[in-house]
Amino acid sequence: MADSSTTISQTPAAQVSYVSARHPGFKYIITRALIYLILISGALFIFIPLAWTLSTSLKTEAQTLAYPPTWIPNPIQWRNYPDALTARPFDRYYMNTFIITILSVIGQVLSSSLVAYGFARFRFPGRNLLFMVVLSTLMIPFHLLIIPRFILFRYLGWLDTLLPLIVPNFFGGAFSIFLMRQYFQTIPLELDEAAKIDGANPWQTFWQILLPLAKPALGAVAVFEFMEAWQDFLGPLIYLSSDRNYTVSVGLAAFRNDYFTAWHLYMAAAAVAMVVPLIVFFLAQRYFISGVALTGSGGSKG
Amino acid sequence: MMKLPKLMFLTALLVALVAFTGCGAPAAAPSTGEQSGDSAAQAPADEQATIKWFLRWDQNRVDNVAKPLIERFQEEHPNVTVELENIGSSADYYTKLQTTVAGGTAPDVFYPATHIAYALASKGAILPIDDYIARDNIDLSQYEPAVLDLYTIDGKVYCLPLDRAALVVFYNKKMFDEAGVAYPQEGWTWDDFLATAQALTKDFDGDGQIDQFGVDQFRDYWPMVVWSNTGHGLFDDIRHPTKFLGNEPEVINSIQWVADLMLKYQVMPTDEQRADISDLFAAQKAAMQVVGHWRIPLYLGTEGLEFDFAPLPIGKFGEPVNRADGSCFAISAQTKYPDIAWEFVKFLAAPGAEGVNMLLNLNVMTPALEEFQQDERFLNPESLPGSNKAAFLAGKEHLFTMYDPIHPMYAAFDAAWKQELGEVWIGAATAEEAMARLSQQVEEMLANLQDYE
Repeated sequence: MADSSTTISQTPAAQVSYVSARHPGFKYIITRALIYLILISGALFIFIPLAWTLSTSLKTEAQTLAYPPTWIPNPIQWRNYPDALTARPFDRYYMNTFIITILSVIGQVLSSSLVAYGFARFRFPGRNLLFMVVLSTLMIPFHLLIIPRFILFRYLGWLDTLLPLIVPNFFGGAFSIFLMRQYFQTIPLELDEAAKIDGANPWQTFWQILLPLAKPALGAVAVFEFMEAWQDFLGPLIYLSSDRNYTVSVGLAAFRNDYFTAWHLYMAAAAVAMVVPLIVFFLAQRYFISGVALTGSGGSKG
Repeated sequence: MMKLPKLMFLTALLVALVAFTGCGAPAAAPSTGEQSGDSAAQAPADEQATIKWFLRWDQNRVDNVAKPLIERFQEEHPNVTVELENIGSSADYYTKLQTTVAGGTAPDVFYPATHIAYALASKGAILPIDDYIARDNIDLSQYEPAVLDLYTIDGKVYCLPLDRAALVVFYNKKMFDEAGVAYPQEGWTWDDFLATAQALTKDFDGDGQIDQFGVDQFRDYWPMVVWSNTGHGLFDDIRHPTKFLGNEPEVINSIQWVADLMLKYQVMPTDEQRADISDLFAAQKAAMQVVGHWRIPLYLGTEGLEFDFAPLPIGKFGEPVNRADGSCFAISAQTKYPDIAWEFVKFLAAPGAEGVNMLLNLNVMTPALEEFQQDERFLNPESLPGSNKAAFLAGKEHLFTMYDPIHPMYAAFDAAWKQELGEVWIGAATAEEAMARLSQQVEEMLANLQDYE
């Protein structure tokens, strides 16, 4: 440290940055190497559960009990996958999960952006108070809402249908509304005014001007909602009661009970359930990250 | 900004209010609701009735007992359809049960464990069945008294017990033979148990890693060691607790002894050593396992595993003790068809019941009914020739419940002991320190007991 600082202090500051950009110095390489080391070990650390899932999904039942636990299955038992997926009607579960997820994403994106448009672009009495009410719903723990919501859906006659898992998304979500509103506020108001001069009504402004510009935010909302709907367990567990309506997450739980867990089948089914969100994540990574950057805290929902 | 907390408070209050009235409604008036139109609400013989049965069994029991039972019941009652919903994991099961009870769509017949049955019954969610018991002359003396007592509040029975969760020591005969250790004998003590476990803990390859443990982990059953050393539970009165007995030296010693099995003697694996292996006895890496009847099918299915049962070791109390808990079949207070639900419960768990009868063949439970405890299929099942099944009946004279006290404060107590003893199990605190802290918290609970009711 002391040596390098003395050499640097002898050269003009401007030149230092120029030189180090052209010819990476020793210090630069070390910093880079350290960063990569941290990133790689972080990635490995995160990869461990995934690898364990895959490893266990290929073991025989006896091997899942092996002590000390082994990483490499021997023999590799591919049969776990067909066994696990036919143990319960997983085709049916997947269909239900897809229906719920796709409709939830559409509902969430449409309604939240519309509500956010209102909050971002219109002045009306009580606007801030209303927005605060919307935000404050984020602070009510979900568990407190389980029973009132259950009673509501019972009165509507929606129990044991997919509706309680889909319809609420058409009424917006506080987090998505917040995210969309913040994004709309970054779009210059002059665009709306120009559209107005060209004869556009507010609906056209929203649909033709603002929404196309808000694609990154829409993508983020869609990805967050996708993840949430796909992995939701408590909702389907409570609202659905017949086998034909179950989702993948509830179906997965069937491999676990108080007496014994068939880890090899459980992990095989879990690995398959993981494929879709993984694909979505890789394709939509950009939106995910922009969503996090937009709010500074993506973790609060996902 | 001043308005926000106030607003949130009001919203939360409103939500809580809705939640509470939701809970209270079915309790206050069991048979009201949208179905009150059909008055007595009992289906005539020719009318179709559907009742829902909510279970938390493993797939083996569902396929081999639950489904055939439903078929047979429907044959006898052609106008009745029994719908089965099974959720194997108790945490999920109870989340759903409690939501449906509060939401007014509770299943007609369900299967709660002791402390949940108590909690639901004390809120009025379970239909008391005394009238039916009297009408059909059900002989209650047939049931294990300590277990039946758990399902009785103020002299009223609200649940028919199915099984008792008795514990025994399973032991691997081959490992005992190879180590030259004598099989456990009736009347053995915890000292014998420790010596046996030490003789069976092995590091075969000398790498400093234990390859075979004397006993698989059973620390969640620590109260059992306390009973056997003191002859009492954790509170002076199980239903009306006034005094916590957890700070007695003998209780503290018993807990420390359980921790020492892991930390000092290293005959029982720690969490770290255990990784996520669900059963070291089935993996044939532990010579003994302290667990109940429900594990037998797994062990029978494990190739090359030869095992037998020994009664629990005896402690300073000097008498065999065991666990009184079990599960029961309850009828929802919200049911539209109480008579049919009762017929079904009777079919499942009354003396001579078809349900218990079929379950005996599966070897998954110790029956709560005395007649079935003496049944040859229980004592000498074909799948376990010559084995000491009587070990499950040892300690019947002194049964204690794990869910002590049977009082709504149990949930708070449960969270507190898990927190404090968690430190003991990893060696971060001694049992004495942890129990001192726990006593302090429990005294506060006991002083404000009405808050939990």
